[in-house]
Amino acid sequence: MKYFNKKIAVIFVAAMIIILLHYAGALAVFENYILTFLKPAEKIAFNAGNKGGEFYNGQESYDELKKINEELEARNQKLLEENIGLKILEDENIALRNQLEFYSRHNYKKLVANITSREGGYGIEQIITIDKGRNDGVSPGQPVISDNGVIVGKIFAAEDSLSYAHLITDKQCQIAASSINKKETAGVTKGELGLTIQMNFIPQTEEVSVGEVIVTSGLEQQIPRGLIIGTVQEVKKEPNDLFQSIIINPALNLNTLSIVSIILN
Amino acid sequence: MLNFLKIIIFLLLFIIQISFISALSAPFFNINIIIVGLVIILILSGLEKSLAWALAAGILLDMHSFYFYGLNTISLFTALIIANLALTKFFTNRSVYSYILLTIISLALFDFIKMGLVFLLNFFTKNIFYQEVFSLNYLASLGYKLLFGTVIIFGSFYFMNYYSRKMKSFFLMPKNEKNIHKKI
Repeated sequence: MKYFNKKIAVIFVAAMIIILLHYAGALAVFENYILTFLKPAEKIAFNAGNKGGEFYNGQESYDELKKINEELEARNQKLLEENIGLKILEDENIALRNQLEFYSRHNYKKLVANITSREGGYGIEQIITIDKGRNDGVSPGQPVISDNGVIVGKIFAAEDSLSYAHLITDKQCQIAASSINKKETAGVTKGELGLTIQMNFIPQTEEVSVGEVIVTSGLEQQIPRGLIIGTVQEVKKEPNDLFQSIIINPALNLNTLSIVSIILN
Repeated sequence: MLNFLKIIIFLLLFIIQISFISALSAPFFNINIIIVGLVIILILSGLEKSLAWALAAGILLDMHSFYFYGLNTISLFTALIIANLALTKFFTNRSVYSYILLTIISLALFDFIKMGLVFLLNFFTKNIFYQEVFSLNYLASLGYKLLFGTVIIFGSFYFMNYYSRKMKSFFLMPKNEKNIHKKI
């Protein structure tokens, strides 16, 4: 039996021509039309999928939430006691925020965008497709933030009308970060299994405590200082190691994102 | 008119795959309805038609993917050609088992070819990212893909069997042979 006939040969040739034309840039206009045509439907489908995911997670985590609630109540009592001490530090904190240029949304040129898809490839879907690309001023390295100024990811590739970003919980997403303590402990964050973030290369001499807020340090050219990453969940300190590391709890649930902003300058 | 309807259904399936399914929580984002659809076309309409639809799906997937252009198209083509070889050489009937096995073969091949090409590209370009393409997470994800693929093809088979005569079993018996049986 013949496996390849004329029609199959035509399909193969057509595929090769399309791929070659793409790399030659001859299909850019055509592709942009298709992407623009599909965008509204993709946006609706993505939001519907997000809602479905939220519903499923809600059902699954009811018992978990009950347990967390009890823990939070106990923690709340402890925090009330600590609050008195923190009042004293408030003035100092305000000065520190000014010094760090801590999240001022008016200073950044932002671009609001929709997430249209997620992609992974090696098991954990931690790459988001955003419906704005090079034509809108998006370029690799720019931070992706939520509406309340929390950094959620970093652009790593941009096409004419689409761009791709690693979420901060992705292993491939590394961000220069620092804590908002007096010493401004600095390090590099890296995603952990798509769930949490690890901050490495913190000298052993630095004191980091659970609950501290971690922000971007501003050492990267395109990422401004003071974008919130999350709070310290655990400190990993081994006496024999040169550096200590911390586990950071992301400031928001990255699985339910559908609208984001990209800081352009 | 029928072709227009087919294109609409295809676009709908594509949007469901690329946006709706990808937004679902784990492990449901591993569902791959495009491959399942192509396997059904392969069994019912042959390699030519399934490759034609694979070309359309591959191009759209490549346009939405951050991997190099052509990766999805090449992977889909290769997976379908090997699945067709399996269909013509090893499967003699259109039973639910052959549907399931062909779906599993196609899904696994598509994933292995895609990730293999990415791995090779990263190896030659010395790209430090995506080194762990064949990690434990990847294997778990592949397991879910095969599981969901099996469930969908199982459901689709019985759905199609209910509404269509295409998969109903029939016997190739000459008329006189039937008469012989009657006489006996």
